[in-house]
Formats: sequence, C-alpha cells, structure tokens
Amino acid sequence: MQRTNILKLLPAAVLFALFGVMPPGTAKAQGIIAQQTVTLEVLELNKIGINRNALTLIIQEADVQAGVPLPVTNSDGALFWMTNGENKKITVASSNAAPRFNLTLMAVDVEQSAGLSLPEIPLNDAQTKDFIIGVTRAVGRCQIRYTASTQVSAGTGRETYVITYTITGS
Amino acid sequence: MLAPTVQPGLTFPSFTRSLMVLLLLGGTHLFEMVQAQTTGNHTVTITVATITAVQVSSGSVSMSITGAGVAAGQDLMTVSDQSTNLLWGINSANRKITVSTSLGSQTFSLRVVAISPTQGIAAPEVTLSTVANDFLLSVGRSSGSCGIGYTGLALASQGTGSDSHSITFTVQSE
Repeated sequence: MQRTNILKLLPAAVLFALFGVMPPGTAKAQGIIAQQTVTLEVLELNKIGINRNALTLIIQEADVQAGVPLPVTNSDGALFWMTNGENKKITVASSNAAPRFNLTLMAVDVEQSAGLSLPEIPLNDAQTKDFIIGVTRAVGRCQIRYTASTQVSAGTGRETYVITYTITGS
Repeated sequence: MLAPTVQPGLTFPSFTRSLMVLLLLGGTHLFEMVQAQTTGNHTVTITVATITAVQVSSGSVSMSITGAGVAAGQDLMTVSDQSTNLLWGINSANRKITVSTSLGSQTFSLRVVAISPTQGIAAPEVTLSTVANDFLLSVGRSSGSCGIGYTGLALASQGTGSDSHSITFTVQSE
C-alpha cells in the first residue's frame, strides 16, 4: 500500500522539484498543499409524519336533560413536520365525503414559530382544508384533537375516516 | 638502463644472477604500474532534499441533501461523502496535515475527518472554517493515504441553497 502510494506521488514530486509545477489532471496538488472543491447543496425538503396510524372515538354517553349524546375527544395523535422551504401550510382531508356522524379536528400545542393553528375544522366532506398555516423553515409538532359528536337521529353505527395531512405551498 | 652485456671480470654464473635480479626487480615495478592503472576511487555524495508531496484523488466533490433519511419533526439533515482520498509522501519528521476552507460565510456546516489513515493519527472530526484545523497528525517520514470523510449538515431554518468550498490540505510542522 505504501509502495503504491509513493509510486503514485513520485512523478508529481519530481515535476514539482524540477519545474515547480504539478501534472495536469483532475486532482489539484502542490508541494505542500492539495486543494479540492466541495459543493454542498440543500434542496427544498418537506416532511410530515404522524405518530398513530389508528385512533378510535366511541360515543357512549348522553346528556339526558339536553337529549343529545355527549361528544368525545381524542388527542392521542401527534403530527410532526419539517420544511426548509418558505410559505408552507399543512392541509387536512377526509376520505369520507358524506359522514353520518360529526367529526372535527384542531391542532393544539403547536410549537412556537412552527406554524399557526386554525380554529376547529369540520370533516364533513372530502374537501381539502387548511389545518396549520404560516409554516416557514420550521420544524414543528402538535397534538391533533379530534372531537366526535352525533345526533340521536343519526342512530348507532361505525364510520371510518382516512385522514390525510399534507404539507404544501400556501 | 641495465643492458644485459657481459662485463669483463664477471663470470657467467654471476652475470646470470645479476640478470635474474634485474628481471625480478623490473617485473615487480611493472606489476605495480599495471596495478595502479586498474584501480581508482572517487567520492559519491547522495543528497536527499526535503520532499513534501500531498495530493487529493479527485479535485471535486458534490454533496446534496435531497431528503433521503430526513424525518418529519427532525431539524438536522445530513449528507456524507467518502468518495475521495488524500495521499502524501513526506520525508521530514514531525509533520501534520491541516485542513481549511476558503468559504468564510457558510450557510450550512461542513465537517471533515480522515478515514482509516495508513500512517499517522486521524484528528477528531472538525467543522471546516477558514482557520486551519488539524486533519492528520504524526505523518512525518511516511507515505500513505486516507479517506476524506465529509459530512454536510443543514437545519430547516437555514433554508435551501448551495455552499461551494475550496478545501486546502496543508502539510505543516507539528
């Protein structure tokens, strides 16, 4: 290994000693210094993730005097994001275009300067809606607070929603 | 100088003895003359000058943070490169190799460390700056190579962009 290396350097050393120049090539080298150009490029990156793949809300109590089932909330889900771009927002969309029950959500405990939470958002259709806005060069985290409610007239049953969060340009 | 003539008063045997002595003396002198012509000496001096050569295997390295390995909620993004080598040949004692960058104002951080040097001791990983930092120690009187390990670091708050460094490796006295 050493022999190979010194053999590689020998022509360069001889040329340098005789003429003060180094041989042409991709590698720049001089007697006691060697130079290299290093380019570090950072592209725009947007990442978003969630900590729970499945959440369940069960409405099982009612306010007898008011005559309505009591809403239930769940804040077990957390959302994480990262962007080095500017003027981004996080949107939310439900796969359930015509739900029988009511489901709303809101971002709570958004980290400071990581974005701005919007008021309670009803997932009563399949439209994409703003969830967190003002996300610029930030790493953030929030809890997702779901609230499920229903009317007596809606009866009983089970509904499944696939909720999609997207970080996108404003 | 000595003619082989018979002198009056000398008997033949004594003449013969004288001739033999003369031939013997003459032959010895001749042998010494021949011997002086086939030998000689001169002084050979070898001077080994200071040789210090250092070279990189490639003049350029490109690194890009594209999102591979980046996780949501994590601020730090990194990219690594170990595609190039540094080679050196040094016949002076007590030498080290330092590293510095020409880029004074950097958007992102760039770290470098010597990987598996065949000679010498790798210095701890350093963040590149315009001030020379130790890269490889105790490389005097050796030839060898090492990998050049670069790590680029970026934070989300630093946004996007590109830094172009001219990295200089310098052999110095320890």
